[in-house]
Amino acid sequence: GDQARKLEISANMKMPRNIKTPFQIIDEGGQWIGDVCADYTIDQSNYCVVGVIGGQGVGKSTIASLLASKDNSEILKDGPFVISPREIREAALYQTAGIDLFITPERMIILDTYPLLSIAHFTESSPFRDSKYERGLMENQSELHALQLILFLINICHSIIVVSDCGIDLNLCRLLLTAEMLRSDLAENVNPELPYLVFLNNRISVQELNRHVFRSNVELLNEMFSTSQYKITGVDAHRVELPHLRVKRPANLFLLPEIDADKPAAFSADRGFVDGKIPPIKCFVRSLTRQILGLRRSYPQKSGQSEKAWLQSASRAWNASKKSSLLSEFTQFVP
Amino acid sequence: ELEKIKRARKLSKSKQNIAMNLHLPLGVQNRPYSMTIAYSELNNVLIDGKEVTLETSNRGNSNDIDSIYDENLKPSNIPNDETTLFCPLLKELMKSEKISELVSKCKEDITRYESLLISLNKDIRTLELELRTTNITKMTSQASKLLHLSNTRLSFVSKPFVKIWEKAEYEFSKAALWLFSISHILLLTQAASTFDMSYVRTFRIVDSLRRKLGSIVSDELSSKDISKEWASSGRLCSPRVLFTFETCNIDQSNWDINKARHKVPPLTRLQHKMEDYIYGLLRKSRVITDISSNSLFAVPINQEFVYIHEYGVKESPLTNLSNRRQSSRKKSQNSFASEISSDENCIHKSLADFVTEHVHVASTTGFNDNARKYQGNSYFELPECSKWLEISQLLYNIFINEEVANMHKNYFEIEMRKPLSMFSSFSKNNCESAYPSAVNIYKEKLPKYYTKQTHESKLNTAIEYMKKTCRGPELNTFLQRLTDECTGMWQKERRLCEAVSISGRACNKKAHRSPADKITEENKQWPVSDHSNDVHTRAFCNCGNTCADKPDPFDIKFANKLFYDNLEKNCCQSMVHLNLPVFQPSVTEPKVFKLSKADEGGEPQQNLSEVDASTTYNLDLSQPSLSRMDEHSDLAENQNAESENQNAEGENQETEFFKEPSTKEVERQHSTTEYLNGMLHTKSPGSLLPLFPSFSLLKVGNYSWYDPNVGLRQTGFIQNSFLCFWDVRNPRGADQANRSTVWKNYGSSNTHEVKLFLGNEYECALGHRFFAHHPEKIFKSQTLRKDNARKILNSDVPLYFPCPCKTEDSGNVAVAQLMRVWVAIPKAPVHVSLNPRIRPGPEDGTPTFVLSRDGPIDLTHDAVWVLRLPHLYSSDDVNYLCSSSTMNSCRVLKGMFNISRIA
Repeated sequence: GDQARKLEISANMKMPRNIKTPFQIIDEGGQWIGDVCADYTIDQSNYCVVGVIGGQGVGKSTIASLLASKDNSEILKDGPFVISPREIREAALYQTAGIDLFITPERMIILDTYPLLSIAHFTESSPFRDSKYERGLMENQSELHALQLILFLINICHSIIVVSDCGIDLNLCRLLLTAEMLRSDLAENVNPELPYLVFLNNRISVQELNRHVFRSNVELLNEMFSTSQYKITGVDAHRVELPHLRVKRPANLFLLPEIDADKPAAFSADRGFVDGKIPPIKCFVRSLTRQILGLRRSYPQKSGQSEKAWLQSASRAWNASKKSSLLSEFTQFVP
Repeated sequence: ELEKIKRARKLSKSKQNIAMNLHLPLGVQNRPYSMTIAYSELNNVLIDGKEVTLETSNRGNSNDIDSIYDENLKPSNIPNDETTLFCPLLKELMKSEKISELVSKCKEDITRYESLLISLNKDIRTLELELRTTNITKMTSQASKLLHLSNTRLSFVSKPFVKIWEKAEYEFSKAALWLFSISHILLLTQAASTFDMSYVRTFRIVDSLRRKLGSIVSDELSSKDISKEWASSGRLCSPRVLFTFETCNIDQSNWDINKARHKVPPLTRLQHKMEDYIYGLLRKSRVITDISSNSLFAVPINQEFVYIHEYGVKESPLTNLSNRRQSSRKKSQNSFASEISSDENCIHKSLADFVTEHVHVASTTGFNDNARKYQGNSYFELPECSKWLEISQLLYNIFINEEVANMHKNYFEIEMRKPLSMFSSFSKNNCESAYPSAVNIYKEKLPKYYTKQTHESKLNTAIEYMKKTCRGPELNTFLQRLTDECTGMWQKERRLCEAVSISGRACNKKAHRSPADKITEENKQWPVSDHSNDVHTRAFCNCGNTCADKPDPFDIKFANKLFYDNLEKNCCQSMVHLNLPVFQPSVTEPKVFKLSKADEGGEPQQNLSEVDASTTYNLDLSQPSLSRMDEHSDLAENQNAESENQNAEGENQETEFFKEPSTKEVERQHSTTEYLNGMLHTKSPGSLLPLFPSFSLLKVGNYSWYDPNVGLRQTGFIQNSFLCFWDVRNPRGADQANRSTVWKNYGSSNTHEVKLFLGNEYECALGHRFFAHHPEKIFKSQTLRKDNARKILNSDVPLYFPCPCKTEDSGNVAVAQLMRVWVAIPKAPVHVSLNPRIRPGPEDGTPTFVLSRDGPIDLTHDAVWVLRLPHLYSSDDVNYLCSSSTMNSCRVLKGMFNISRIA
């Protein structure tokens, strides 16, 4: 597969410039500035787009970096995405203000996004100034901006990683389901269907490793999305590293232990993990990237859309999600 | 007033104060979001010197993850029926009647609240209420056990998640309304590290409903023996809400005050930062204002109100408070100050310390959380426990108890349920705007009456449109409405009768029931009338004299009998009819015979052979007469030879019809309880007979009625109406004497020949009639009127002929069907028997229809007989219609007439 893809790429065009650091495609003010990435995209259609969403400080950039790094051994040192430094976290602030894009040599396009429903993000930055939802209550506005982001992502992503550090985040699930309700079919959706959702519980506690807890969480996901068109199966999570978490009716629920910024690739002892029971963090990371990449096999690619065309459609999708008439209709009903 | 407050405060100092925490978990995992509240005196409670131990989860150092989990899941954290009231002290409390009532109310309410846990925390003197709410809790809390315990609750499967969410939010908001009215302190606990902004919406909604219900509440309270302020404000004070976050991303274990840039520990700085953000948000949304008594709650100005659990510590607040209690027991008791300042080694205070600071304020000075410029007296009530319980219960009834709350239902609907059901409202609005178009799509180009198929395909188009255009949880409701409306309209007014005529044309009337139809559940309300589709053919009556329009028949009885019966009334009714064998019921409700499934397979062969066995017996009796016939006539010889050939193929059934009429005394017993579905044919099972005759056999007149020089004096013939000659010679070897006496009266010059006339009359749908005296062609010439009948007697004749007429518009060849067989028999000693055998289709698989089960029918002499054949051949619900592919294979088998005896 890889060989053939390389041949295909080299036959069709010259190798693209390698992207070294992520590009901001949406700036802090909610404007599309992604056209600069055009030089890094190529005319081939074998790629996948992965979006990462989550609340403030749950580890979105960390996960994005994990996916992007070639070698996971030095996960947090050579990852392309900037992970919130301690000072930022201590000030209850956030690192990623817009949407950042990175393309791996395997042609995985990774989108790291601004935090959802974050007071700090809403108070400190002045995003979406031109947005018509500006007037109004802060809690409602932040929700609408979150919906905008999700509406954008579900039209251009093949899979979305939903990161949470406190178990399954019901608010995010609700937003995802609301976005499904408000989704308008753009003619040029990358993905004619709704994307895969991969729920990633970051910094898990020891309890979440319990198979009963895991099972009930999976059950919860299945129930919540039972009437939804999102694809929530496809990742065979933890088949290798945590075989005891096998469930009958699986869902894409991935567990990731704490990756301590100061102690890379190690568990912090006070989290209560028991030696010998939990495999090293490397296994989790390797498994996660492999599974996300594995998903792309089953992506219903819209025939023929190349990376370049994707970038253009992404730009239009962003503007469409900002101007979504269904979204503004919905706002009338938000108390 | 001041005095009162002072007195209350003085009193409170001397009393054992017990704070109350209410946890409202809406969270995930083992980390419920919780609200802790309230502050109230429970001075009258006897602690009775008993040690009260709350079970606390033990993190332990077990190596087994599952066992750690199981310990954490012990009922101290998960309520079930036995442990709902898990605190032993509560059992003491419950001796007080009112508490037990309150608690049992809460227990009854278990469909909405997982449970209400009440525990007494002796050391920090709080009564902790943990209220677990609704389904989301059930689904999300650690309680996989609860999930299985509570199967009767709302299930996700049938409802979209957002609907469940709305319901849960409504229940939560109702509970919050109550809690805000009975508490001094609320602890809002969140599992995440950031504030969930959607709580602000809940606060706003709760506040607006609280204002609306204000007068009702104060009316209710004013009759109680409580202070005026309490009654008019409806609450103890403007409560404080404290926020705690259970996830922390900052590890400050290595922090050293001597090396650090800031002198304040990082977590504390983070807490302060969070306070700023939350305060800003609440102010902007006007949840808190400068004057605390005007707001739902207040946050303290000079005290910390955000607590973040230390890095790596993930424990529920309840556990934490309890732990705190255990550790503090060893130290000096009853002094808040000493507790707060305890443990200097720890740079981050415990949650219990954090809460206790506020409890301390409440129990000493009361809260005064107005902005500085409005510093004044704010109302603060510190009631006795029994009073607090009484009022709490009263408010519980108003706010939560469904029956009582119904009185104020409108307020709840407008102020709380409606704003909270934004998904439903949006979806409803969305669907409503598209609904008329969907109905129009259904109605578009609909004929006046239409079939189920049309209805269903139109409805599907409309449903597809709705699905494409409409969003959200209400879509299914609207799809159901659309289906109901369209189906109702179609059923009631626009339903087309779905009966199909025998020629394949549908009835074009509104849904109705013909008298012949079976009454079903569906059609029993329909009006009764005959099917009709305005299609008519021309047809002649039994004797061929009267012509009339024949409506496209919908059932075989009308096609073959009723139409002719009607015509007969004005025409041939008085003629001599030969009754054909039909079913004679012996019971009031005879049954139609049905082929069982097995019979349709290989089985019937066996059944038939059984029938055949009895037939063979009859055949034996008739054998001699057959051989006699051989001698009598060339014709008979021919016929016999042929019939023997046929015997070789058709076996016994064929010969049955050559049975001598005289052997009829061996008649089989016909069934009198079951009748045949359709018409009689050679493979009809057993002894069954049809319900009505499809043939008609009548004598139109004497032999002289037919004038061979003129032909039939009837209308409709497109060429001539001559019958053909059938000369029967006086057979050799017959009894001369007999012959002479019988034959002398016969007017023919040649006494050895008898002249019969025969004609196969065909009739087309336009009412054209003609005779065909040759099995392959119709003679068109007038001169050939002396045709000999030999050809049509000795061969199979076609059932259908293309009519020489052409239909006017299309030029298509009209098909004429053999409708009548004429025979004129002179007054001579010749006995003609009639035995039509008609195969209306290809040889394979088409039954051969017959007139009678009992063989040929004798026709009397000196008569002109006409056999009117069926319009439609049908058996067992199979109609054998004429089609271009089978037309040529439809035959009337030879041997219709038989000279059975010449005496």
